[in-house]
Amino acid sequence: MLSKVHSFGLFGIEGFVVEVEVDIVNGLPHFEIVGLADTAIKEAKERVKAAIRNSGFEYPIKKITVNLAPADVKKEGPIYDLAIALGIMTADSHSEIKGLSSQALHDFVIVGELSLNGEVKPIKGLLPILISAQKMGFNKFIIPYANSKEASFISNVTCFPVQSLEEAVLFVSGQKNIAPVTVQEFVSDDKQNKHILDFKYVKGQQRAKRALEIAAAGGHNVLMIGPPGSGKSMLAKCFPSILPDMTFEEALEVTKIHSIAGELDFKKGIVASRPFRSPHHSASTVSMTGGGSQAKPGEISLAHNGVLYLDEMPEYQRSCLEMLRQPLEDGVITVARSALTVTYPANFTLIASMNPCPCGNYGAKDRECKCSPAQIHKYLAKISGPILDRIDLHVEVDNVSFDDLRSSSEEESSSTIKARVDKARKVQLERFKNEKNFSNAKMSVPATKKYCVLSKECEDLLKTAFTSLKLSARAHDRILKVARTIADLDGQENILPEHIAEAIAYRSLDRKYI
Amino acid sequence: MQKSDFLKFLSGFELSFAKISKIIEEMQGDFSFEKFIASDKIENILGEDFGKIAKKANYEYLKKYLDKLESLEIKILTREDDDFPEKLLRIDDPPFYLFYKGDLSLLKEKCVAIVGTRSPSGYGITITEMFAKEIASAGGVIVSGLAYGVDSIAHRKALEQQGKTIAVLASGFNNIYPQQHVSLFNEIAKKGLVLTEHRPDIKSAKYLFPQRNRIVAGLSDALLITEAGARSGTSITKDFALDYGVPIYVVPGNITSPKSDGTNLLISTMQGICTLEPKSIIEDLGLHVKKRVLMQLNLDENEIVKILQTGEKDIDAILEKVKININKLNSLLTTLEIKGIIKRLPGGIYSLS
Repeated sequence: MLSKVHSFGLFGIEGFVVEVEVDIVNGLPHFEIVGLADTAIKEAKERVKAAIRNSGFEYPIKKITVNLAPADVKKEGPIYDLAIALGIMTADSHSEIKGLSSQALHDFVIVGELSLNGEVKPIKGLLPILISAQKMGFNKFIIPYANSKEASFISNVTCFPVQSLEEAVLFVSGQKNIAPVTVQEFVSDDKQNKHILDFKYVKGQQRAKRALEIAAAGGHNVLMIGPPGSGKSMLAKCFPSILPDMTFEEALEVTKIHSIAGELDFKKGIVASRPFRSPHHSASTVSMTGGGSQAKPGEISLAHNGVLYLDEMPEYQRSCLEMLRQPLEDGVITVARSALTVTYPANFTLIASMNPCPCGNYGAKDRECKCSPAQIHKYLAKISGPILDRIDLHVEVDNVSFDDLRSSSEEESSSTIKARVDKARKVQLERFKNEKNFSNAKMSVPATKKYCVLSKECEDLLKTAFTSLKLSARAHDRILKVARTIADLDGQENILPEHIAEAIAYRSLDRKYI
Repeated sequence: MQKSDFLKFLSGFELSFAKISKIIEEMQGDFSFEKFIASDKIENILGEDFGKIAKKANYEYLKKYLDKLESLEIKILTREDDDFPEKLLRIDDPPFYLFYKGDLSLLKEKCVAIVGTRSPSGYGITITEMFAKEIASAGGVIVSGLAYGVDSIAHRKALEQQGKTIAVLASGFNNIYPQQHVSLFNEIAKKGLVLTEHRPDIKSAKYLFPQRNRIVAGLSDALLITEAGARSGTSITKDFALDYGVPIYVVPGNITSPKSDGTNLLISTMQGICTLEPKSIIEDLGLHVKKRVLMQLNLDENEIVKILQTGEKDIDAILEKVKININKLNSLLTTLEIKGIIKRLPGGIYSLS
C-alpha cells in the first residue's frame, strides 16, 4: 500500500515542500530510501525501525521503499524521521491502529528527528520552514516539543508539539488531543536593557565612543587603531548596547539563520538581541562566508542585523578579508558551489580593530615602537584599499592613563547615547522611505548627491582640507556620508561646516600615516 | 676626446673612486679609446673587468649609452663641467660624475642638509617640519637623502612651502630606495633636483650609504641634525661635515629620550651648535626670515592653541581641559589643522605646528 506525508526541506534560508512517499509490498524484507538523501537521512531507516518497535508498534517485515519528492533536489539532515515513521505505519495494510490513514495525515506538515526509543528530538531550521510553509499555504504542523518556543513566534499557523512517536500516532489518529503552541508577543532584549556591557564603564576614549555613536546612528563601519590593551575590544563589545532595538521582522530574519546553523537557544526560541559575532583570526574563508557541502551560513550571516567584530584585522587571511567586499556593499553573501548557489543575508556593521604596527606601539604615548618604517608599511598594506574604502570611520585609540581609570567622573551611559542614535535613525527612515537603503552608510551615489548637498562654505572647507591634509580621493564620499549622519545626530537638516570638519577627523588612514 | 666625455664613458661601469683616479692618471691627458685599450697599466688596474670594458671602448657604444640615459631623462654632470658645484671640490674625493634629474641651478643656492633618525618621535617630526618649513620659505635649499623619517619629512615640508630641495641617492634612479618614496622622488625630480653617483640599474647597498653621505655633507653650507640616536648613519654625515668645515647645527632633545642621545651628545661635546630656532641658521646663511601672517582665531580655537602650547596632547587630555563636547572639539581640531596651526601625529596626538 502507498502513503504520502508532507514534510519540508531547506535550501539556503528558504524552505521547500518535500513529499515523503512510502510504498510497502510483500516480498523479501528490505528498506530503501531514494530521492537524493544524504547520509543522515539514509541512516533514518535504523532509527525509524527501532523507534517504531520500541514505541510498542509493529514494524512490517516487507519490502519498504521511501521516496523523497522532488527527487532531484538534495535533502539534508535527520528532519524526515518522524514523517517516514508515520508514513510506514500508515502504509502498512496490517497495521491495527484505528484512524491512522493518509487522509488523516494529509493536512499536516510533519518534521522531527527520532531517537531509538521513540522520542522526538528537536531539529535545526524549524523557523525558516514554518515561515516558508505558511507562505505556501500550509498551516498545520506536527513539530518536536523541544522546538515549541521557536514556533511560538509565528502567528497564523497551528503547531502541535509532540514528545514521542507514540504521542504523534495517537494525535493523528484522533485518540489524543494536543494543545497547539500559543503565540507569544516578541519583546526585544535591547528594550529590556539586558546588556551587561555599558559605555558608562569605559573611562576616557571620548573620540572612540563618539565614532561608535556615529557608526550606530548611520550604519557605518568602524576601524579602531591602537596599541594592545587600549580597550578596543571593550569598546566593540559595548557597541551593541547603543544599537537601535531589534524589530520583530529583524529578529525573525536573524533567528532563521541561527536556526539553520543550529546556534539557536531552544529555551528562548528566538534571537532577541542583536548578534555580536567575533570570529577568531584563524577562521577559514568558508567558515566566514558560509557554504561547504552542508551550505551552512557563515559568521558574517550569523552577524546579520548585528555586529561583526574582527579583532586584529591584519592577522586574518587575505582571502577572508577580501570576501567581505560583496556583503559590505550589498548586504548579502552568495555562496556558489558546484551543486548549488545559495544566497544568505549578511547585513552587518563591521567593527574592526588593529594595531598600528607589528609591535603595536607606533604612536603610543608612553611606549616606544621598535618597527622599521618598511615593516609598518607592510603591516598597514595588509588591509587592501577596497576594504578600507568600505570603512567610513577610522579612529585611533590610545591607552588610558591610570588617573583616568581611577577617576570617579561620571561617564555617559549607553541608554543616553542610544536615545540620540534612535533619533538619528528615525530621521533616516523618513528620508529613505522611498529608497532601497535604510541608512546613510548605504546611500548610493545618486542618493549621496541628493541628500548631501553642501553649501559654498562646506565646499570650500572640504576643498582646502583635501589639499592641506592630503586626503586621498576615496575619502570624499565617505566624508559626505559621515557628515550626513553627524548632521542627523545634531538634528540639522543641512550639513554644516562643523559636521564636515568632524567627519574629516575620522579619516586618519587616508592620510600619510608615516 | 674630451676628458668629460671620457668620464661619461667610465660612468657606465660603476668603478670605484680609486680605480677611476688611477685610470685618469694613466691616460696622461690624452683621453682616447685607442690609448685606453692599448695601456697595460690600465689592464692591471681593472683586472678581470678590463676585457669587458675594452670591448665597449668605442664611440658607437658611448653614443648608445648616452642615448639610453637621455631616453630615461637622466643627465650626467662631470667634474670637468662648469656647472659642477665648487662646494663639492673642497672634499677629498669629489665624485668624478653625477647622474641627475631636475634643476642644476639649485646647487648654487644656499644649501642646508637636514638629516636624522629614520624613525623620529613626535618631537622629532615636529621640529624637523618646523625647521624645514622656515628654512625653505626663507629661500634655503633643503638637502637630504630621501630616507625614511627625518629625510623624507624635510623633503616634503620643503616641497609644501613651494621651496627647493635636493635629494642625494645611494642607488641608481631606476632603483629608488625605499620604494615607498618613488612618488616623492618623482616630485623632487620635477620641482627640485635629484643626484646620484650610480648608473640607473644599480641597487642600493649598505656600503653605498656612507659614500652618499659625503655628497650630502659636501653640497651643504650648513648641516642640521634634528633628532638622532646614539648610533646612526647621521654620525657619518656629521663626520664628513666636520672634515669639510661645514657648520653643524643641532637641536637639543629630551635627555631621557634615547632618540635624542646622538644630538645631545653633539651639543655636550661642542661639535655642533646648539640651535633653538630656525632663525639662527637662516641668518647665519645670510638669508631672511619670512614674515608670518597672523591668523584670526575664535575663542575656542584660541583656548585649544593655549593648551597645546604646554606640549603635545591626546584628545582625551584636551577634552579634559576645555569644557566643550567631543563633537565640537573634533571639528575644531580639524579646522585648526586645515589652517596649519596644529597638526595630528600618529596615535591621534595633537601638537602645534
